Amino acid sequence: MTLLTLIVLAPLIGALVAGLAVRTGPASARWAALAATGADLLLAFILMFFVRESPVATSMPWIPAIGAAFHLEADGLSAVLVLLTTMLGVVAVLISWNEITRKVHAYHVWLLLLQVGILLVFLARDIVLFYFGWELMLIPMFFLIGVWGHEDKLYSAIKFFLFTFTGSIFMLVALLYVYFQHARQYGMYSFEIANLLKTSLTETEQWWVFLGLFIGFAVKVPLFPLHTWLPDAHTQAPTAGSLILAGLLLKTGVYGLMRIAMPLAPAGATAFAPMVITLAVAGIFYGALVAFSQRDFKRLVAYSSISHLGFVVLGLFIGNAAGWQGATLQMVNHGLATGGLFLIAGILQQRAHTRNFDMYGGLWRHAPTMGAFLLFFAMASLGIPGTGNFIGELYVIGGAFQFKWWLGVITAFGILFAAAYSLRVFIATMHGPESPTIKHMNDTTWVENLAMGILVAGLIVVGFVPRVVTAPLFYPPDTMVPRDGREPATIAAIRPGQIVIPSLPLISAEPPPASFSTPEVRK
Amino acid sequence: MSQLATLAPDIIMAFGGTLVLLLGTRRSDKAVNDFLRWLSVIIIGGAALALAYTRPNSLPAAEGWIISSSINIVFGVIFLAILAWTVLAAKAPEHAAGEWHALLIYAGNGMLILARSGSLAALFLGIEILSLSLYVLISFFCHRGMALRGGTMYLVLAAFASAFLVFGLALVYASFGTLDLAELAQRVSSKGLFHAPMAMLGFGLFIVGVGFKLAAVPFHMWAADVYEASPGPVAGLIASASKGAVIAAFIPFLFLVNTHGDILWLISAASMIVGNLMGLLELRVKRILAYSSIAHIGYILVGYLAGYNGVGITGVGAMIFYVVAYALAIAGAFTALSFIERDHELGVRDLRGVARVSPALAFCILVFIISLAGIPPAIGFFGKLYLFSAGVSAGYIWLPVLGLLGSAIGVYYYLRIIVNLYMTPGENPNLKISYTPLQISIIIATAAAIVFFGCFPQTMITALKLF
Repeated sequence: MTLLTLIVLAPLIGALVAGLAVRTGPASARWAALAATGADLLLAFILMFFVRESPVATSMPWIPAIGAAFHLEADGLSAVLVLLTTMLGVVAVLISWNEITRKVHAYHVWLLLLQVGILLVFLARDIVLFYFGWELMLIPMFFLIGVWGHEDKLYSAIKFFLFTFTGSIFMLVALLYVYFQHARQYGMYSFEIANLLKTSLTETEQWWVFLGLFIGFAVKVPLFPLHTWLPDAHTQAPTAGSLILAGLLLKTGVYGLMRIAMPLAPAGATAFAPMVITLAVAGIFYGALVAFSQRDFKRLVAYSSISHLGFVVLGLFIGNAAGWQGATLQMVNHGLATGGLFLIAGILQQRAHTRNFDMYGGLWRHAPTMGAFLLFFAMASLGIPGTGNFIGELYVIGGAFQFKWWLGVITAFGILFAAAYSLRVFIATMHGPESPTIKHMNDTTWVENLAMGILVAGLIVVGFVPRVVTAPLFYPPDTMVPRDGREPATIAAIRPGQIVIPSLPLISAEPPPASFSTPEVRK
Repeated sequence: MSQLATLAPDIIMAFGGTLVLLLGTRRSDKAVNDFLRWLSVIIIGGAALALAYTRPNSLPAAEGWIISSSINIVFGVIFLAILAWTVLAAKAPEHAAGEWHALLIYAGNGMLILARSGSLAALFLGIEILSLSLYVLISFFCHRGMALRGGTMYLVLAAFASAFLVFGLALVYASFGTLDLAELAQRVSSKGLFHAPMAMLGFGLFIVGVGFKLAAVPFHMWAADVYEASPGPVAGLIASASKGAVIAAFIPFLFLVNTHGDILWLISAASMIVGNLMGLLELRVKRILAYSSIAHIGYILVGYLAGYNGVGITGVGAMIFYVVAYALAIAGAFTALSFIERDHELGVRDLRGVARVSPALAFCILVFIISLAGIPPAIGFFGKLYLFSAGVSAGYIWLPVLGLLGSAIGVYYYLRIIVNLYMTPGENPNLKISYTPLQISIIIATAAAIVFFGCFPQTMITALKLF
């Protein structure tokens, strides 16, 4: 089907148009980017519709000499993330509308190329294509931070690049190893993920393969001790850069774990699970604590990302349906809520020329709309019912309980910490005595409201109808195989190509047919 | 007659070069220079056509000195294409365009002989023709900076290396009694090398000589100085086609992998590590690229070690692919940098502001650098993938791992160039960029080719008939 190709091509065409229109005014680039991302969003909605019946795939030979194919495929998980990507793509263009005044054309070219890379990662079913997209994300992001970033941009851009590039090389080594093992066992060279999943690897091999893949993906997630590039990159990036970094680039790491690392080396994943769970929980608390002590708005949100992503990774590695659904939900929610916080931080910085909380205060009187949005995003971030974050955290904590009751208890306290820093954001900016910095600050413009409104709508939809995210996880129906019985499944239960899920007391895991009759929280 | 057909490219190059040289002595103004440039391109193009239409595996010519297997022909056409590219993209000196173009053509003649040499003597002849032209080309602008020093350095060291090379070849000849490469390979395989200590020593010296020409570690000391001293296009030519020709000439000696494999392994590993580490210390652009080229020779040697093993593409095929991929990037980078006028050696900080003054040039340099670093969507990524896959399939696990780690280190100095090109505030006050429309369009076309082949690498594999 050409739908997937179109989805990947739309931003590429937009980038070409924006790049070639360099002699015209900045408006041309903005409109070209908006048209491209808007069309992409539309296509993503159409994809969501198709993917309910069966996975949408397109495949053509690419480099037959080494067995690589241009193979795109969307099942439910990919489709959800593609929808998130295109949504944030539109928001990124909108929020840059007034903020970016320098080198507008180049900016939009990089922004759209970045989207191409992300979409390739989420859709590729061929390792070379996946890696191609993975590395394609690097240069555009490097430029977005390095050229349009803030005061310490060079340091942050280079740090970001070196961390992710080095990580990806470990990943490549592991993937090539599997590729050669597969060739040895089956006598044919193929980079298709579906074929590589058939490779039988010993436990030791899986351990090493998983280690390599894990380093590559965990840097991107980022998991607790590998996170140090993140606060710098997020803080220094322009607003749209932070939005895409937090909303999408971090998700590519999680997605890599879900799609490649865990299915390819399940035994390795099982062996690593205790360590990863420990790191994830450590990340939840570390991120939250450090976030609370920040004075810099963007830095606070950046550290909160580490905390949220801790939930996501935890959900993956406890290895049950609730965990997986919760992780996917949190991926989407974090993209929307944290993205929203970054938008506000960017808007504030653009007007007050500072990100320091001490310089804000009493803003509500001047900018009630912004205040309302900030309140909503802060509440979403702390997981208030009605927003998607509540559901996502509930799933993850429920899954953790089921895995080990004490793990659930510990994790639940993470939310408390989230409340602390989220409220601090709101109080420090909106309440308190009026700061001189913000004396003449305008409220948000309609473009900014539109951008944030999209995120709010997304959060509310996920909050009330979480099955729009969780149901697609079961598309096509045999992706996840439910299993009766109460014993907590370990990662080992996940076999190549399948994700075996035990039935849960909290959530019914009947694989829904075509209709949206999915796991819903039972009263 | 068929011998004459095999020799036709060499004859065209030799006579054409002399013709250009003679015509250039008459008068030198812009019209004449342009005429000479296009004449040179026509001569090179003619030679390439003659070469492309040689029947593969036709009779060896000139007592077996020149052979034409399909690999040799592919290599020859590639080098002629790079040469024509250099002639078009380079800024020929106004005072001596004839000599400049003639020397380039002679260098091309040397590469052509090297790439198709069927005997040890032809190999040596090719290397000497190539080196002699390069000595002069390096110090062509002798009043500028370190040009004379660089040329002299290359002269002394290359002569030194040639001594190793020729002595090694003499020992080989003494042991096996033949100059013919095919016969040599046959005798080596039937007798084995281990019973011929003299030949072992001879091949060892031969590898030293080749290592010098390739600037592989530990014979790399000259590279940074010479590249920096050379005019940009010449540096590009040395780094791409000249090294490629030596590699092409080295391919008939693949049997050395059995006996000298460990040494080659060490040279490859050391080149990847040293090249990438030393580049970190440099702040001058051409020196950075010089160390990058040392690292790339290390990568290419992985393909050499893999020989005819490989995934879809053999090690040799991957080497050919990589020579093209690498030549596009490094020749492009050196030439593009030569458009930036300066009175001292070009430091990375001098690149500030290039993106503003000439966005097209800056973007092209960016593409070249990305390709050198091996990041998609540039072709360098697939070049490395093929080389390392071939290496793994031949049983070399650690070399590709070292290579990948090395490129992770090396990416830092590539970033340094990009950062100064685009991101560092402040501007080089003396920045002056000059190029003709022809030059910049060739640079842009090269960058476009890098991205195109980076997205559709199969097209290049098919075009080069690599499998």
